[in-house]
Amino acid sequence: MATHRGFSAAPHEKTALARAALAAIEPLVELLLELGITSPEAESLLRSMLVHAARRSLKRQDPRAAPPSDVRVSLATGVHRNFVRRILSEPPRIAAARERKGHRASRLLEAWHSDPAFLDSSGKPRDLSEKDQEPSFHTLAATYMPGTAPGVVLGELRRAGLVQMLAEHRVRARGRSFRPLGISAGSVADMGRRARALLGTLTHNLREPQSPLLCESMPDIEIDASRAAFVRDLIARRSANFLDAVREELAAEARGSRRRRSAERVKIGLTMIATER
Amino acid sequence: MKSMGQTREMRAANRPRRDRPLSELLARELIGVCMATLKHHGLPGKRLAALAREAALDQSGQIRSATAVLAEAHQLAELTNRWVEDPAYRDSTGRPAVLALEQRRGRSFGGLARQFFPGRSVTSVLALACDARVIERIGAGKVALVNSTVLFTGSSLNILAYAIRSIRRLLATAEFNRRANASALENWPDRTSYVSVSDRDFHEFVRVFRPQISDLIESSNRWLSQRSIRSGRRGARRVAGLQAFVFQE
Repeated sequence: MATHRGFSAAPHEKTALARAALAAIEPLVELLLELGITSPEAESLLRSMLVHAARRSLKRQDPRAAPPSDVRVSLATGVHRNFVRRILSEPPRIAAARERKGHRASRLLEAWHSDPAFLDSSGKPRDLSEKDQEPSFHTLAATYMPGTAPGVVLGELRRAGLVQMLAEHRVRARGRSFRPLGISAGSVADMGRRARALLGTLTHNLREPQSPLLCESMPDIEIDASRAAFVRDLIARRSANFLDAVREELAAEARGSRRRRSAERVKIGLTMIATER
Repeated sequence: MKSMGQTREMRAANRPRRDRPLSELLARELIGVCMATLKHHGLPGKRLAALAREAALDQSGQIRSATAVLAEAHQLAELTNRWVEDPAYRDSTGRPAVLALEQRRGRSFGGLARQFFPGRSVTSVLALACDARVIERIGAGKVALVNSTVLFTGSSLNILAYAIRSIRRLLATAEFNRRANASALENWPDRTSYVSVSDRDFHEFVRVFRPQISDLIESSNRWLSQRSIRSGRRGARRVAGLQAFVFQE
């Protein structure tokens, strides 16, 4: 059966073709997994690319005609026309609704940072026994990720560098949110964003010394290497608390600003980095 | 006839009296606030009145009883401080290490217990630290520090003694500031923020500021401890510090 370009296979042929295409798709799927892209995100991305490709393809069939309507693209792709319009309004991307707001273990990490049962007296996540003593990591996982083996969750968090295994089968939270690890597209992009932010501030200060942006640092201290772990931990805890405080203090400002949409907007942030030589 | 738990005489005493100097009215309020709190701790009004008369004759302003009640907690706080601050008691991550209860060589909880509670058994110090939620046991022979703050939750006498010490410190700062030069930089810092908010917002406020307050206190404690070690035994020394708390009226 001929269609706009190429052919449309019968259902049994379509299944066979899809199976054959798996060989090509498999490496891509592995890459997506490595980049931490979830199934809903990948499906959304594929749908978006399919819709854009269908429009290009329909346009090529008759370059002099008006651009193909949403209905035609909808018929060619099987995607509802309302979604077609939305998808075509922007370049191929993962739909905002499908975009993961956090890793599936984010709920567990969030609870470790907020549920009083898992906090110490300073309101910070306490070190937990893996399973022998309450409050334990297993209880945390069973409560906030029911249906998933705590050992699997722990392994995943360890790989992501978000927990640290201590002596005596104790577990320490090292982060609250997932960041891409190792050298990958995601981590390099993250590095690029951070480097751009820092260089942007330094460049601004060079060009406009009369209205500099904050760029302060304390003088380096030289310490015995054996005490470096303590200092690193102290800097990490103080900085995290300080950033939390500033974020909370400015939340009302951001909320108010969201309500008053003006033409001129500016993104303001604060980054803290530790240096070590 | 009683109304809201007060007699007519009491209500009359509570009314501001124009013939009294303002300082007396304020003193009356301070005593009233203390009395009301002490009643919450189960002390009857008549007994409190007798104690107030007794206290009025005492010029020293000492709080020996409160200090005695807090002695144990103070020593436990000192033990915890050593565990947190001494590099010998830290693990490879820079945090307080898990300690063996007893160990022939090197650091152990038993060693700390003997140092800060001489003459007392390690078992009883362990029980005290567990009750105060400072440590938790790991298996049969090890302990981990879970809180660097000694908590008095549920212990009425300790909480009362702690409050008395806090009040004396607050009043000492107020007295210093009363005598100090009007310049804000010569006063000891004493700052307050207060706004009417819902209970829900108050809980959120506590959540947000708990880590900030802990950081401030930890930082101040480290600064003072380092100065205390550095200055050794030179010159007269007086206890100095910083206290912070949230409140809801």
